[in-house]
Amino acid sequence: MKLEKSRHVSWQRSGCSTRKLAMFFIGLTVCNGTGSALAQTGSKKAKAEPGPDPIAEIEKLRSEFEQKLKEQEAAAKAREEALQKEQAAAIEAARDEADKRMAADRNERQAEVLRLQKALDEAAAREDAREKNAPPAVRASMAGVSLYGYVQADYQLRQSSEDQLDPTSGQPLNQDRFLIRRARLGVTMDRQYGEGRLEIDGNTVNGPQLRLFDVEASAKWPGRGEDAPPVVMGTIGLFRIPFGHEVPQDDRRRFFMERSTAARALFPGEADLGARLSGGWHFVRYVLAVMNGQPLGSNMFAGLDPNHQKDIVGRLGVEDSLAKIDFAGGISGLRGTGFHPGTPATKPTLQWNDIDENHTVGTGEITGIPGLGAGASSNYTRLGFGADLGASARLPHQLKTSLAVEFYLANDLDRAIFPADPKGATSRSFRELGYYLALIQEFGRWQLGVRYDYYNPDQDSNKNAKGSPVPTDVSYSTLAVAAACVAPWGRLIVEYDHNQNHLGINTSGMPANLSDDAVLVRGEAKF
Amino acid sequence: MRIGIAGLLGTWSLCALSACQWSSDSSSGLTSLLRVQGGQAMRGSIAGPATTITAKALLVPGNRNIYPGAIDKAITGVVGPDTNTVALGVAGDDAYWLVPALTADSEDPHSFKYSASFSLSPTLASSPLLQPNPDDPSTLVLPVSARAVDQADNFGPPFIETLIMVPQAIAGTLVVSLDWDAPVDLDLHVQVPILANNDAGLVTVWAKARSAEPNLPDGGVDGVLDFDSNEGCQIDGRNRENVVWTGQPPEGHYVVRVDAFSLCGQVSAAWHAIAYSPQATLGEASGVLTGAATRDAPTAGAGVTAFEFDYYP
Repeated sequence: MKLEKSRHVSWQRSGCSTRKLAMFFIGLTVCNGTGSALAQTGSKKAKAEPGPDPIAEIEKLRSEFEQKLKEQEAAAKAREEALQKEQAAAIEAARDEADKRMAADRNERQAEVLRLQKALDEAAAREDAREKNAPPAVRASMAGVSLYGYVQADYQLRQSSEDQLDPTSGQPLNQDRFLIRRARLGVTMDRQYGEGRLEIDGNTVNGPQLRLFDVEASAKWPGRGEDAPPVVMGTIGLFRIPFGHEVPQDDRRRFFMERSTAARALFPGEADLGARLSGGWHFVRYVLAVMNGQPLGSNMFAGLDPNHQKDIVGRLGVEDSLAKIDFAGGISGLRGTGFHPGTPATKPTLQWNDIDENHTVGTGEITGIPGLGAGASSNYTRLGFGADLGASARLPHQLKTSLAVEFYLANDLDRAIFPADPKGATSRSFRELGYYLALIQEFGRWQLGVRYDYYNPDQDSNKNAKGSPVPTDVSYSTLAVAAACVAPWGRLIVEYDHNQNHLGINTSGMPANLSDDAVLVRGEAKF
Repeated sequence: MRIGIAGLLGTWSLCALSACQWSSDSSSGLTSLLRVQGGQAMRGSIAGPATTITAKALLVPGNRNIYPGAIDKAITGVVGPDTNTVALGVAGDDAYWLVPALTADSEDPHSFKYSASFSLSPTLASSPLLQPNPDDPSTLVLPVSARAVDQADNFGPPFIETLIMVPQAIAGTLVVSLDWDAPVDLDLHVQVPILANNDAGLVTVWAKARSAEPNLPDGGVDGVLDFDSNEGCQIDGRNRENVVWTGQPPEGHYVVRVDAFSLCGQVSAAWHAIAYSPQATLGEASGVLTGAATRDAPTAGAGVTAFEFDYYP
C-alpha cells in the first residue's frame, strides 16, 4: 500500500512537470506567432529603434529552453529511474516480506502438524492404555452386573490306571490324562434388595459336557456396611448345599484339588435345587434350605426329585477376626428322604444250565422261572450332622498359617461312592463317618499344604455277618500333599494323593487295598 | 419393598408346605399288594367307601394259590344289577382297582361279567394284611374284596374271596442264596469241602455252573445252581441265585463269595446272602459292590467273601 502511494505521488509530480512543459511549448508557439507579428511590427519599430538581436535572444532562449528541457528530461529520467529503483526495491521488499511471511506460515503449519501428530499419538497411546487397563467392555442392561469365570485344567497320573475298559460303565480305566476339571463362566447381579447369579460349568471329566451349575434368584435385606452379609436373604434356584464349610466353598478358594472323600460321597456334585434362607448379624452366620435331595452328582435322579418330601439342610456358625487371627466355625444338620427305586415286572423265563457239560439238554438242566410282579418304590429317612472349624493367622513377612477341621456323621446319606439304601438288599441302614484335617502354610505367593481325610461309608459292615465273621472294612483315606504358586490371576498347583481303600480283593476274597495313588497338576486362570 | 420380600418368602413357604400332601385320586397302584392289569388304581382302601347301593359283585379266582410276586393270575366275576364296574382290592391296602364289566351276563340280563388278571407285590410275604388260614394254620391267606360300583361312584357291599399263600422257601438239605436289588449280573460262588479218597480235604468251587473238577467222588456233591440271573446283563429281573443240595451235602467248611460279573451300567448294587438248612440259618451277610469289584477276573472262586460257615449236620 505504501508502495502504491509513493508511486501515485511520483506520478502526480511527473504529471505536474509535464503540464508545465506543455504550457511552455504552447506559450512558445504563441510567442513565435506573436513574435512574427511582432517581428513584422518590430521591424517596423526596429527600423524605428534598434535593440538586442531577437533571434539571438530566441536562440538563447531556445538553448536555455532546450537546456532546461534536457535537464528536466534528465531529471525526469533520473526520477523515473529512481522511481523504478524504488519500485523494484519496494517489490523486492514486498517479495521478501511475502517470502518471509510464507516461510513463517509454513513453519507455523509444520509446527501445527507436528502438534497434531503428537496429540494423535498421545491419544492413540491413551486409548491403548485404556484398552489395556480398562474394565471388561461388556455392556449390561442394568447396573450391578458383573462377569466372572475361571478354568481349572489338570494333568493327572493314577496308579490304578489300566489300558482297559471298565466292565460296568464301558469307560476307560486309564486315568493318566489331561482333562478340564472345571471351566466356569458366571454372571452376577447385585442390587440393594436383590441378587441373581447364573453360572455355567463345562468339563471333560466324563467326556465333554456343559451344564447349569449355580442359578439363583434372591431377595434380601441388606446388612450394614459394604462387606456385611445381608441380614436375611431368600433364594430359590440351584445352589451349593449349605452343609459345613467344605461343601459350599467356592472351588477357586479351596487349596486342595478336590473336596474330601466324605464330602464327595455325602454331597456329590455339591449343588442341588431348592430354596434357601440365609444371612448374618455381626459375627453370626445362618442358613436354612429346603432342597430336592438329589445333588447334581447323585448316583441316580441327579437334578430331579423322585419323591414329594424335601431335604432340610441348615448351618449355624460364627465368623470373625481377633487381632491377626481369622476364624470361622459352625454346626450343620440335614434331615431328608431318600428313595428306593422299585423293580419292573418280569416275564417267565427258561434257562438251560449244562450241568454235565455235554452240550446236550439233559434231565434237570432246564429251569423255568416264573415272572415276578413289579416291586414298588419306597422312601426312607436320611440324616446328617456336621461340625467345622477353621482358623488362619496372618504373620509378618507375608506368612499365613491356616488350619481347618471338619467332621461328618450321617445315616443313609451316601449318594455316590457307596450308595446307602436301607430298603435294598442289605435291609439295614448305613452309618457313615468322615472327617479331614488340613494345614496350609503361605509364604507370600507360595503355598504348601497337607490334608488327611477319612471316610467310612458303613461303620457296621463288620457287624452283620452270621457264621464266621470276615473282615469287611470299606473305609477310604487319603493323605494329600500339595504346593501352589499363586498370582492374582491364577494358580499352579501340584498335589500328591496317597489313597488307601478296600476296593481290591485278595486271593481269599477279602477286601484289600487297590493301589490308587495319584499325582495331579493343575493350571488355574481366573478373571 | 419390605412387604414384597415378605410376601415372596411367604409364597415360597406356602408352596413348599402345600407340595407335601397334594396328590390326585388316581395312582400307579405300585404300592398296593394287588395289581390288576387293565384296571384303574384309586388311592385308598376298598373298605373305605360306604355301602350305598345293593348291587353285588362276585369274584372267582382261576387258582387260589398265590406267592409273592406272582403274575398273570386270572380272575373272573359278575357285577350287577345295573352296574358295570367292579372294584377289586384288599381291605387296608393303599389302593383299589376299578375294572369295567362290559359283557352282559347271559343268565341275568341286568348283570355284567368281567375278567382280568392280577399280580401281587414281591413284598407280600411281609405284609400285615395277610391273615391266618382257618383251614390250615401253617399257611396264610389274603382276603380280596370285590364291590359293585355304579356310574355315580356308589359302592355296593363287599364280596370277599381268600387266596392262599403257598410257602416259597426252597426245599433242600442245604441252600445258599444270593439276592440283590439292582439290574446287575452278580454271581454266587460257594467253596465246598470235598473229601477225596485220600481224605486230603480237597476244596472245590461252585460257581455259575458245576466246577470242572474232574475227580468228584461219587455222591460227594450234588449242589446245583438253580439259575444264573441277569446273565450277561440280559436282565430277567429275578435278581436271585441259589445253590441247592437235595442230597447229603459234604461236611466241612464252606465259603460263600459274591462276584460282580458286571454292574450293567449301574453305580452299585447291594446284595444279601444267606445259607440255611432245614434246621438253622448257617450264615448271613450283606454288602454293597461298586464298579471296582468288577475289575477282577470273573472266574470260579472269584468275588468278595460274604461269609463262611461250617456244616456238620
